[in-house]
Amino acid sequence: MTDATPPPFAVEPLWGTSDGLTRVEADYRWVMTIRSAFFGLALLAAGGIVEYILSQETAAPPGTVMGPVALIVLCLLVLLPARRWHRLGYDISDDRLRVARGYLWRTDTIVPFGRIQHIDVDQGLLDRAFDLATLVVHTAGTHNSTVSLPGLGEARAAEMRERIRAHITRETL
Amino acid sequence: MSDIATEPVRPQPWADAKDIAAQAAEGVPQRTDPRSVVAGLVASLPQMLYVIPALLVGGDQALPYLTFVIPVLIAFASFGHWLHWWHFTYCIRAEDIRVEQGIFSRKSRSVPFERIQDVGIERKPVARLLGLAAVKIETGGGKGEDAELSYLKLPDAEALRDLIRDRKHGVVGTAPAAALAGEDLTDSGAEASLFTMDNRRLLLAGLFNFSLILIGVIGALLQQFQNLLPDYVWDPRFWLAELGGIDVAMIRSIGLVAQIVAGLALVLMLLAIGVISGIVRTVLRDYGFRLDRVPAGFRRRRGLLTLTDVVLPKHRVQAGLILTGPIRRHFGWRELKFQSLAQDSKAGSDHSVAPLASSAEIDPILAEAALQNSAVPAQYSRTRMAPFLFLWCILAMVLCIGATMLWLLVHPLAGTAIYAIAGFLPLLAWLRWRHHRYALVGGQLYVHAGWWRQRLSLLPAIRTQTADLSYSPIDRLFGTASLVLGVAGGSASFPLQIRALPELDAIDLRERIMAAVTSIDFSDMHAPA
Repeated sequence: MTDATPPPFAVEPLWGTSDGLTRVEADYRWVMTIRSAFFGLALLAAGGIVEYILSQETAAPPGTVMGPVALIVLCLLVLLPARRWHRLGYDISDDRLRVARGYLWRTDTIVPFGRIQHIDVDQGLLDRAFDLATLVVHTAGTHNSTVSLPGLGEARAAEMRERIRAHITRETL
Repeated sequence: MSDIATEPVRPQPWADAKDIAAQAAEGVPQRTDPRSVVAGLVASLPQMLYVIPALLVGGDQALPYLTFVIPVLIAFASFGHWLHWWHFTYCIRAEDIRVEQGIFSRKSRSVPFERIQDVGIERKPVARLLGLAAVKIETGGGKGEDAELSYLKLPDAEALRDLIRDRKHGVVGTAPAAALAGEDLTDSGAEASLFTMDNRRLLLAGLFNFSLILIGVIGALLQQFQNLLPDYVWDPRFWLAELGGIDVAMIRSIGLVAQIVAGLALVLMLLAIGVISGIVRTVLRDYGFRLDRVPAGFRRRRGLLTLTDVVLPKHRVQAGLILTGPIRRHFGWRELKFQSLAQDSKAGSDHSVAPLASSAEIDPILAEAALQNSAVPAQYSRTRMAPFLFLWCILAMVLCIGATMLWLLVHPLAGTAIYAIAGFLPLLAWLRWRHHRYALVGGQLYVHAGWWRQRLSLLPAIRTQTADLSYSPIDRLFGTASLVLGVAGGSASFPLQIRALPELDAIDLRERIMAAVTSIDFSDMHAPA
C-alpha cells in the first residue's frame, strides 16, 4: 500500500493488528459531546421528574435518582466521546477505503474503490460549525450498502471523494 | 484537485430558455424547473389533510381559526418547498453527475457515469398536468436511494436522459438509442432446457417442504377473530363432545394408555397437516417448473395458479446457494438458488433455479453461471470451536445450577428435564460449529453453515462488495474475528459470514479476497459480458 498522503500523526495499535489507521479530526469529539449533551439533557429532565415524584410519595433522600443519572450523563459527556474518537480510524490507499470503529463490538470495514457506486459528502449543522464533514460511500451490497466515515475535515472529505471518483473513472478507461 | 467541493459558479436562473441539457453539460449548476415547487406542494397536500380532522376535534371554537390556519400552513409548506428547490442544484460534469441539496445540512452527491445502471423518466399525475417529468438515475446501489431530479420540463428531461446515457457510454455526439435499450431478455431464439421437474419430483419436493406454518397461520387468524367467535370454541370439551361424542369425565376414566394413544393421534394429525400444507404450497409455487438457457442467461417458468416467467441475466448472478438438510442430503437431494442483483424490485432476492435436484443436475446450471462446486473436503477449513460454545456453555451451567437446586429443594424429578435441555444447548452449538467450514479455491469462496438447514454459499471473490472484520467481546476473549462479506442481493440481516476465525487467518483471508477484487476491473459488473 503506497499512500500518497501520510497520516497526520502516528497512531498506536488498538488491539490485535488494527494498526495503520488515521484518526479523524480532533474537533469531532466536540461534535459527539454536543450530540450527547442533547441526550444527556433529556436524561437529566427525566431523572428530575422521577426524583420529584419519588420525593412526594416517599421519604427517599435527595439524589437517589439524580445522583446515578448525573454520573451516567457525566460519563456520556466526558469519557465516551474521547474513547469513541480514539477507536474511530480510517485508512485510504490506492485502491481501497478502510474504516474501523467501536470498542466492545469492533467493526473493521474495507471497501474497494472498484465497488463504490456513488459518494456523498454530508455536512450537518454541527459539522458545519466545526468545518467537518461525513464521507458516505454506497455499495451494491445489501450488507454495508452504505459505509460512512464521520469527522473528516471538509477539505479532506472533498479530496477523498475526488480521489475515489478519479479511481472509478480511471479503472474503466 | 481543482474542481472540488465549493464551485464558484452560481446556479443559472431557470428562466433561461436555452437548452438546459446543454448548459448542464457545460458543468454549470442547474436548478430544476420552478414549477417543481407547485408539483411538490400539491403532492404533499394529502399529508396536510391529516391536520384538518385534528383541528376539527378542537370543537366549534376551532372552526373560525381554520380559515386562518390552513392558508398559513399552505404558505409555510410553499416556502419550505421553495427553499428546498432553491438549494437543489445539479450539474453534469465530465465524469460524474453532481447533485447539491440541503438548506441547513448540505448534501453533495457525486454519481460517476461508470456506476449508472439506468436513467429513467417518471411522470406522476401532478407532474404530468404541469408538463414536467422526473429524471431518475439508478446505480444499482444496495438501497434504493440514488439520484432523482424532480422535476424538469419533459423535453429537458428527455434531453438530459440522452445526454447522461451518451456520457455514460463515452459518446460525445448523439448515439442511437437502440444500442442502449439493452438486450432483448425474452428473446427465445436459442432456448435450451437446463432443468425441469416432473410431478413425481414435485411431490417429493413438497414432502421435504414439510412445514407447520399453516397451523401457525390458522392460529394467528383465530387470534384475530377471537372476539367474533363464541366462547365455547376455545373450550376443548365442546369439540370433544361435538366431534367425538366424548365427555371429559370419560377421558379421565379410561386411563393412562388411552391418554397416550390420544396424544399420539394428535401428533400424527399435526404431522399430516404439515406434510399436506408443504405439498400444497410447493405444488402451487413450483408446478411445471422449467429452467431454460436463453441468450441473456436463465429463464424460469413455474406456478399452478399464478404463473411466473422470470428472466435472470447471467451477469446479475452474484453467488450460488446450495441448500439441503440432513434427510434430503441422505437421499442426495439439494436445492440450488442464485443470489442476484435486484432488477425490478429494489429488494434483492434469491431465485430458486432448481428446487429439488441431484448434484449431477445442479453442476451444469452452476457451470452456466460461471460458478463451481469443486472444492474437495480436504480443502475446507474449520474455525475455532470455543467462541461457538462459550455463551451456550455458560447458559447450560446456569441451568444446571437451577436444576440442581430444584432437585434438592423441590423434587428429584423436577430437575431432570432442565438437565436434558442444559445438555442439549451446547450440543446444538457444537453441531453448528461442526458444520461451519470454508474454503477459498480457484478465486471462489465456499462457506458451509448450518446442520439442520445446511447452506453452502459459492461466492466468486470478485463479487465481494465490502469485507468487514467484526470482533465481539467473545471474539476478543479468544483472539478470533468474524469475516462478514457484503454481497449484492441476499439478506441484509443475515449476511454471508465466516465466524470465529483466528484473527490472523481472518486478516489473511480478507487480504486474499481483496487482492482478487482490486486486481480485476470489475466496476462494470452489471454490463452484459
